[in-house]
Amino acid sequence: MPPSRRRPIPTPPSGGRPKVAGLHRRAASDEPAEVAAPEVVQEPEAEELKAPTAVEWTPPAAKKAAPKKAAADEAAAEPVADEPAASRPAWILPVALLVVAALLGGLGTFFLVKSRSVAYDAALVDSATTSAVNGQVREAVEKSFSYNFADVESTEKAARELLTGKALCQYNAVFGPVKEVAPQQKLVVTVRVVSSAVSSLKDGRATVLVFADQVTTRTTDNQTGGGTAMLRVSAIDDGGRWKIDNMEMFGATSDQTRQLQGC
Amino acid sequence: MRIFTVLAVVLAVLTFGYAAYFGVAWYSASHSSESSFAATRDDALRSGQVGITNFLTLDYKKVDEDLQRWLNSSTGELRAEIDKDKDSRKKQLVDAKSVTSSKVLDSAITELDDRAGTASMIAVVESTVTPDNGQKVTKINRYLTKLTRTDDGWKLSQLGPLRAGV
Repeated sequence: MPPSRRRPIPTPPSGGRPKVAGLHRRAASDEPAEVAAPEVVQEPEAEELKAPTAVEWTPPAAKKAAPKKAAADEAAAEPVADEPAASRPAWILPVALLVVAALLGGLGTFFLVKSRSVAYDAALVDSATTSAVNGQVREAVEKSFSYNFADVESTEKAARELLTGKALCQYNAVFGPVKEVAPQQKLVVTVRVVSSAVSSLKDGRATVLVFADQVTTRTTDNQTGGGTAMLRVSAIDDGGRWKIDNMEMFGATSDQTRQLQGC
Repeated sequence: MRIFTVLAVVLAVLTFGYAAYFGVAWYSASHSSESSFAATRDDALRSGQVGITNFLTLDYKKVDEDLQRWLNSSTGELRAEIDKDKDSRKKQLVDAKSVTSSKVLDSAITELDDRAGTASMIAVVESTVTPDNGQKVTKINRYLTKLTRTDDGWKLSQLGPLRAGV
């Protein structure tokens, strides 16, 4: 029954008008108008709702393309997967390639180790460095072991500059006694390197075999003595300057050897 | 399965590159003029050490054997010299009645000419001389020797002690 249904719908007070059949009919005719009004309000809402759906509509278009691509992939993959399946299992190709890769990796590592182990000693091979080391070690030995009682300072300066580390201690052990008697005897010691050769040159380290002659003159009575020395000298590259950091003496007395090793 | 194949291909290509790179590196390193020069130097040094030891080792009881060894480890000038006065030298050694044994303590090549096949070497040698009925004496001396390459390897062409004031 439509009339009874409409009644519970809140309607504006009829303004104290008596409930007449005719009036009731008017009110009923008004009601649809009032109901229509919210419907009009709702209409823009519907439009607003429509806008988001329109935005949402584009992704579906993209989504639609993606499945298409996936489908194409599947279509492409399927025959590939099917083809080997016909003759051999699908895993055989990747596994074979992995075996090949593992073998090549092993071979490459073998070559790497081999090429590293080729590293040779650069003595004489690197002629520029070899002659630099040779010359500087000669100079260091001659300057720091030559001594003039009148000019102690230059010997000590040379020793400080051209020797380093353990060699400084060894130098003091060997040269200390000479320095003690030098002022009274007015000693002049001249060391000359007769021959020398670089026996090893590697990674900033060098070993040089040095043959030196030593002439000692006691100027108080002009007595002259001489001797020969054979040294194995280690030198390190200290920023372009090769400095002696260890000395071994061949044919040294047991006392001297003990002193040198005590450093 | 396809992704595994692609990964395996990529891996195989990468490892091929790796192996090829270090294969070439190894080849070029071991065939470089530097490494062959270093090998020549080591060869000359070894031959020089053996040669000096041979020359400074003798026993008056087997002089013929010693002299033959001297001839075998020398060439050129030095060999001619030994060969020339072999007999007087032999008599001298027998009369001295001493046994000498030597050991190279250290040595180094001073010069090396790979093309000419010549080298110079210095060495520190410890020699022990034992007279027939006397006390043995150990001395350390320094030597300079010249080496020449022959078909039969490096041989001594000059040998002499480096005395003081040389």
